[in-house]
Amino acid sequence: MGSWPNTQCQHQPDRLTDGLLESSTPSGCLIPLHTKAEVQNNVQIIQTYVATIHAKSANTVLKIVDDACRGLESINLNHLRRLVKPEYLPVYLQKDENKEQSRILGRIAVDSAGSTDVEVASPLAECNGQPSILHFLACATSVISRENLQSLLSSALPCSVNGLRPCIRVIKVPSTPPASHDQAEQFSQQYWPTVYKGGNPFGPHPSIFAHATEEIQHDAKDHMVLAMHAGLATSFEAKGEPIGAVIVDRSCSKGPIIVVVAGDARWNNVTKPQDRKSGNVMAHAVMRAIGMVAKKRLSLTNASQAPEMNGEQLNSFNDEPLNPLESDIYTRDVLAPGGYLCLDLELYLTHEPCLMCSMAILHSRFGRVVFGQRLPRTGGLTANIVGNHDSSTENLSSRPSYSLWWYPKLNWKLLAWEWVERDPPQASLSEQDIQA
Amino acid sequence: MDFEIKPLDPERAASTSHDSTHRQHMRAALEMAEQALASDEVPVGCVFVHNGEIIGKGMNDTNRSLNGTRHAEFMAINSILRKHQPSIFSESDLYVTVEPCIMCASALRQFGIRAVYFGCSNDRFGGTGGVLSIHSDTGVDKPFPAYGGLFREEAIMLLRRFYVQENEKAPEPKSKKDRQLKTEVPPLP
Ligand SMILES: [Zn+2]
Ligand SMILES: [Zn+2]
Repeated sequence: MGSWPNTQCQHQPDRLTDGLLESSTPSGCLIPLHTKAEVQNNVQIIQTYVATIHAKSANTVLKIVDDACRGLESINLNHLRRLVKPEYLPVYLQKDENKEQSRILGRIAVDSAGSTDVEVASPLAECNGQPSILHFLACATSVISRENLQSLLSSALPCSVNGLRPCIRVIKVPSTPPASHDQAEQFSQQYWPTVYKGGNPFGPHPSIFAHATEEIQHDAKDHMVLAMHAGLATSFEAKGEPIGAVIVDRSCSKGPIIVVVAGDARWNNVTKPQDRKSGNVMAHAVMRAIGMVAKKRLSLTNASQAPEMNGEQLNSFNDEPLNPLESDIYTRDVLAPGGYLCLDLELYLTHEPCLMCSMAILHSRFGRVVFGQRLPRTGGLTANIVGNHDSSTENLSSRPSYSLWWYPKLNWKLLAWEWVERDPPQASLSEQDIQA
Repeated sequence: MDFEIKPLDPERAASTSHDSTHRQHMRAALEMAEQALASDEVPVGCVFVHNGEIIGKGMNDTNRSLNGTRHAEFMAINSILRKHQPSIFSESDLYVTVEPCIMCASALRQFGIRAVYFGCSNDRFGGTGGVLSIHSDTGVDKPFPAYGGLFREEAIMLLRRFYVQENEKAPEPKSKKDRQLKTEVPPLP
């Protein structure tokens, strides 16, 4: 989770953005998006044996059981603690430690021995209160039978008190390692003490996200405000919807540099139909902003030309500035030569981009994207449909979630955040079918 | 690369007159792909057809424009919108040599395209079955049918020629950075 950012503007004063900041200052925080795999939470649950053993014999038992399981079906339990003190058991297992439970456990434990009615059979009950007891996660139930484990343990436990057999019970554990500290904590409470060993099988490593969040959180707000104004500027002239995009270069040591800003222009040179259809889809804010970066790069390679602005020729891409706000930034000579597409650049958007724009972001090799409002009916980045479950959202419950920013089969991945405002605006596009 | 054949709509394919029309339009798309190859672009070409007439042609233009979104479909749409309103796409069909990517498939659906015919599948970025099925998934815009396999071999051959051509052009060992970039560049739209 992102923290509330420092509200101070940390980068150099900019007459354009500063003017905007005075007029409107929403504040919010950055929330890293979850991938589809993270949201689906593909946690595999398996059954394992847990035995109660004496601490003194722990190492022997561990070795004997692991030796016996070696070469059999390999199930990785490296993320699970093998030996656990009673006080570190999850609460639901600790409950079993009261006498009533241990009597039942004792009965189960001796069932295989053919005898019943042995109230004191469980070592648990016998050793209650003594610190020498450990709970041993032996192996998955699919690997060896309970009887085999029982005899293995017996052979390793010369001190199994009074010839009583060790208590074995079956519990559920996650066979997939946790993707974060938070998930490890959740596993520890729900199943069995679990260790997070770093990495994330379902998305970017949390530390990568944390580092990047730290880097952008101080000025993300400024870029979001600018994106909002870019959208307002084109929609004010009835050229598009109030959707805006800002592209930022952070590779310069002087701090983040705004490369282009673009508002939606789907109604520019298009007759707006009564039913508000899609208009010129190519003129979404993201597509326009990407087009402007390309034109700026082109002007760098053909050194003679400044970014050309020949508005006379009808250009349905709308990849040239349409208003003073856009052209002010567009004409700034800020891109270093030799850059490739939008590699390493950051994109700030008022709204979650549609599928077309989401894939355009990947094609352009962006490194980071931040968007404001979720669009659960049309967006291509978020992994789950959230929000009010009104009937209009229900209709799209079968809509797949795409989370294209981290899609395993695609050859480009980036980081994506949602910018959550403290005081969300009243009017919002999220209930509409609009494609941003 | 692994391309799979998707049969054309049997109803349409059964009618020989329809069939020859399809072939004629796809040949025009292949010509555009040839042009792309000649200008060192990934050879993908397309045509949009309205009332039996080609209303716009496009070829991949990502290298020249330094814009990774300038796929053949977008180039053609840009030229069409100079003369027509976007509503024309709801009465138009697209013929494209390679399956539209996810971006283009979403654009086509938002424009309300009537049908898409493509040559070979795009198993890296395909948006009409190759990777995702943007054309038919639940969504706010009207789904469209997509039919693959028309002149599939010709479409693949163009791509192969492109890779041979690129390799021949770069006999010198490249710097590490260049090599990395090269593998990142999508060979398909
Ligand atoms: Zn869009
Ligand atoms: Zn495409």
